[in-house]
Amino acid sequence: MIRFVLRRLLATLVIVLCVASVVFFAMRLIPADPAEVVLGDHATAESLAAFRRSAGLDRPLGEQYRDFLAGLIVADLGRSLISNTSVGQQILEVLPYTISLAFAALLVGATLGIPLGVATAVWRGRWLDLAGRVFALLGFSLPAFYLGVVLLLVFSVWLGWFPVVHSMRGEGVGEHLQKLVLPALTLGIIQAAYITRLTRSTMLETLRQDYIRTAFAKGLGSGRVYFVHALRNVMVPVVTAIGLYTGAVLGGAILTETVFSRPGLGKLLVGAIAQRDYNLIQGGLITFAVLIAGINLLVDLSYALIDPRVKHG
Amino acid sequence: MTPLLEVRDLHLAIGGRPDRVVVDGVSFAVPAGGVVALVGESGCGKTVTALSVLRLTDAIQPISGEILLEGEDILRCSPRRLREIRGGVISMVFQEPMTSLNPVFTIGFQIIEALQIHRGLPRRAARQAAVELLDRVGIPAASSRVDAYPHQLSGGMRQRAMIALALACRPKLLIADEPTTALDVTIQAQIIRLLRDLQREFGMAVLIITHDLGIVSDFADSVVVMYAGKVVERAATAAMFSAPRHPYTGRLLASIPPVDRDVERLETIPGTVPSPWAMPAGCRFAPRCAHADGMCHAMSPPLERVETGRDVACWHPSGAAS
Amino acid sequence: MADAGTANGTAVPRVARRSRLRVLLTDPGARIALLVILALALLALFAPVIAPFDPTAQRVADALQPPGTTYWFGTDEFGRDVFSRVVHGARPALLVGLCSVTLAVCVGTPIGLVAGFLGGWLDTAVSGVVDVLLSFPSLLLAMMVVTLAGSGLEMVVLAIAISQVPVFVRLARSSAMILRELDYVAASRSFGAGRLYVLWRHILPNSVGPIIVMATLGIAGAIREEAGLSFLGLGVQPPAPSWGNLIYAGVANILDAPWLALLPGTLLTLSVLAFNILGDSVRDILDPRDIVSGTTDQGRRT
Repeated sequence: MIRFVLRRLLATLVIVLCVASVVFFAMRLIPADPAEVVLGDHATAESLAAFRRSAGLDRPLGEQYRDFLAGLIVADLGRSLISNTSVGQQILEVLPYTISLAFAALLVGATLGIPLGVATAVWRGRWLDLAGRVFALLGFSLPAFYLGVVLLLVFSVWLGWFPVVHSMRGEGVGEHLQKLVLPALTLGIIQAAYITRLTRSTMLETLRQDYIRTAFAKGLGSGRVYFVHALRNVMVPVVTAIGLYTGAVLGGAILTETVFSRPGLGKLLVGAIAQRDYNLIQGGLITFAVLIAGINLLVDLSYALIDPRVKHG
Repeated sequence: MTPLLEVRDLHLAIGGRPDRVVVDGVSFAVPAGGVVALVGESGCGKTVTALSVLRLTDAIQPISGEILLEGEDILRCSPRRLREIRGGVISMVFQEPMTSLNPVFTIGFQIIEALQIHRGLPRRAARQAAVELLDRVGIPAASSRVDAYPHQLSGGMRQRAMIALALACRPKLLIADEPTTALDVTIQAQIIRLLRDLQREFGMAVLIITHDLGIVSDFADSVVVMYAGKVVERAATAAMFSAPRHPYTGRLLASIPPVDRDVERLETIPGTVPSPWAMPAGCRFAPRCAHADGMCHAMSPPLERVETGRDVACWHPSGAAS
Repeated sequence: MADAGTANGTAVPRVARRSRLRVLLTDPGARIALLVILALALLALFAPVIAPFDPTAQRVADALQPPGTTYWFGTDEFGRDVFSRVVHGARPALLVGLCSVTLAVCVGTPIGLVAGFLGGWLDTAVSGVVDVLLSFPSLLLAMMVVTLAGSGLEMVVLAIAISQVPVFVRLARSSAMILRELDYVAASRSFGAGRLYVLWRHILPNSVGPIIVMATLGIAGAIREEAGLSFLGLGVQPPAPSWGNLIYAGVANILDAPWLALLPGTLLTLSVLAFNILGDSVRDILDPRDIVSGTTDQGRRT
């Protein structure tokens, strides 16, 4: 068990390192000269050179890479090319927003999706099943950002329940939660669609198993058979899948943050791309990579804990 | 004396459709404390008949007939009564121990669950009873094995655990559906011996479904032979083995390779079992029977008593006066 | 087209393509989906004819008009007719959808087939890379490519194609792995057929089914991705219309002109929905195993 954990930890580190390196070299391969982009067309040769020197861009690639790696270890991602503030700091400021959004979205998705998935499997063929399938289909097809726009229109513009634009200033927990509702719902409903479908098919698969027949043969009522015997088996792949959906949720967060003018890693990244702030882009992508790799690691480990077949070898 | 279980003229069909009948008028009885073997080739309907006693088939439904448990028709009883019976009065052991136990719960949990529901035992007593049961079925180190997960046990052990589970609530009838087919040959004998010992000790009736005639001769008091959804012969074991009356039974017995001499070829029965939607008119075994005549092909023979304790469905049973 | 994913590894024998198509057409969902897709294609092809106005022509005096008789769905902040812009928006959507998926299939399938068929270290390396790529949100991958290569229609196609390649690599790989175990493959190897021949004549044709399903669903995803990228300003740049950047305009003007995002959003959702439904129907035809039988609870039978 310990060896399993260590191996996965190592693999995760390797992956993060590789991704970070790829990002690093990708940023250096961009044909445009960052100095020109930042300073503009009318910059003098000297100011361009000074910029490059201060940003460390004039040194040989190998040296830059070495410094980059050294910086990674201490979590120093350099300085923004445009604002000259620490990249790490900028990211840290907005990271909690993205993480809380992702978490809330997954919570909504699981709370909606799992019961719906179980219900559509158990009452297969009845109207609930059909409604569930339509819901799932819509969830796959509705682009996250459009759903966000619709929710924004309905709940903010027409009903006025939530403010349209969210400012970051002075918020207590209550305010923070209030601003989470619509974006979390947006992402959560779409996640629920995937989770419903997965839960449904896993449940149907599980109900075909022999041990379900044994459970009935023991005289157990259908409630106990479905919600104890079947569900416990269904949870194993569903929970791990939900963990893996986090990647998709983080992607969706990028769009949702823009729709709801919500601060976050995604919005930061998009802004950085628009402004060609390569250090910030680099830092943002690496942070995403760390988040996703970290979550995948957690999911793998928790799978080992939930499934007795893995735990007890 | 009322038999413990009596199946009367049971008709089962796929989806309840009259054109897809798979069990066509099967009748037999299991006396209290007796051991009855239900025998036949794959596809003859023996498994689905057994499953329908506890109404465990979903795709295949009864369209007529009765299943009487001490006189009570359990085919039509309420869901509540059915739950009482399942595991409490009639228990079942299935063919595949590998997949018949829930992999995410310990075997202790699964046995304790049955004990709590049917006998209302509190947790501690139930656990103690479970350990004793596992010990009784021959699982070593039962007090620690009770917390094991199914995948941690070997196939034979798993089947023993299944038997323990089935016996937990002292059922009056144990239905065993091919309990040894999926096991190693060496383990098979052990399991049958275990079943025999338990049957004697608890005085329960056993309905064992099998295609293995060796098990039948070892264990069963009487035999019900099925072919293509119908019963073709019912007899006491010894009588049937010494003098089979139905041609099919005769061929079945003949196809057992003899242990006491060498043979050139193994005996087989020519032809194949007809499918449910292509049943021949007349006797269903006629196309494969060496003694079939015009009447056999035209009319299906009813199951009739030809002598004490022997019922045969044949127009020309062997050894009968023609 | 055979199903390469059957449980015991035997491939379903090839049924004539024609009859499969006919079966597909009996599914009402598929029929509607195909109609919608046809309508979209017509919209894209004949956009200049169908649109009443020039999509980029600005008429600032008429800015932010609500839907009415002249401008059926109103105008945006520059006075451009929303309806015309939406109609023209069908072009980048379908174009990107079809091209990126075609590219992804053409690149990903050979890689996957070779990796799955040959196995060994090549397979391990390829699967490792694919797994990592697949764990990242495709939007992020596309954004990275756009950062490097710049925005614009061709780059969007490239970016989305790259984000879809791993899916097809994995699909082709698993097909190849299943099929290489089949008896007739071994048989043809035994009389000296080279590995390339086997790949081409046996494995590829039998992998086609799942690939078609995935490609159809991939088009749905690609259309959505393109809209997402354009929404973020990384795809089709204004004034050229794309459903994505039209929706963005809707958000930017949400208080003044709430109707702006609705038409492009609806068409976007319809397009994605149509391809998703079509993909599901095709999958149902190719893999009837998905249609399952019921449970064993007798107490609940009516």
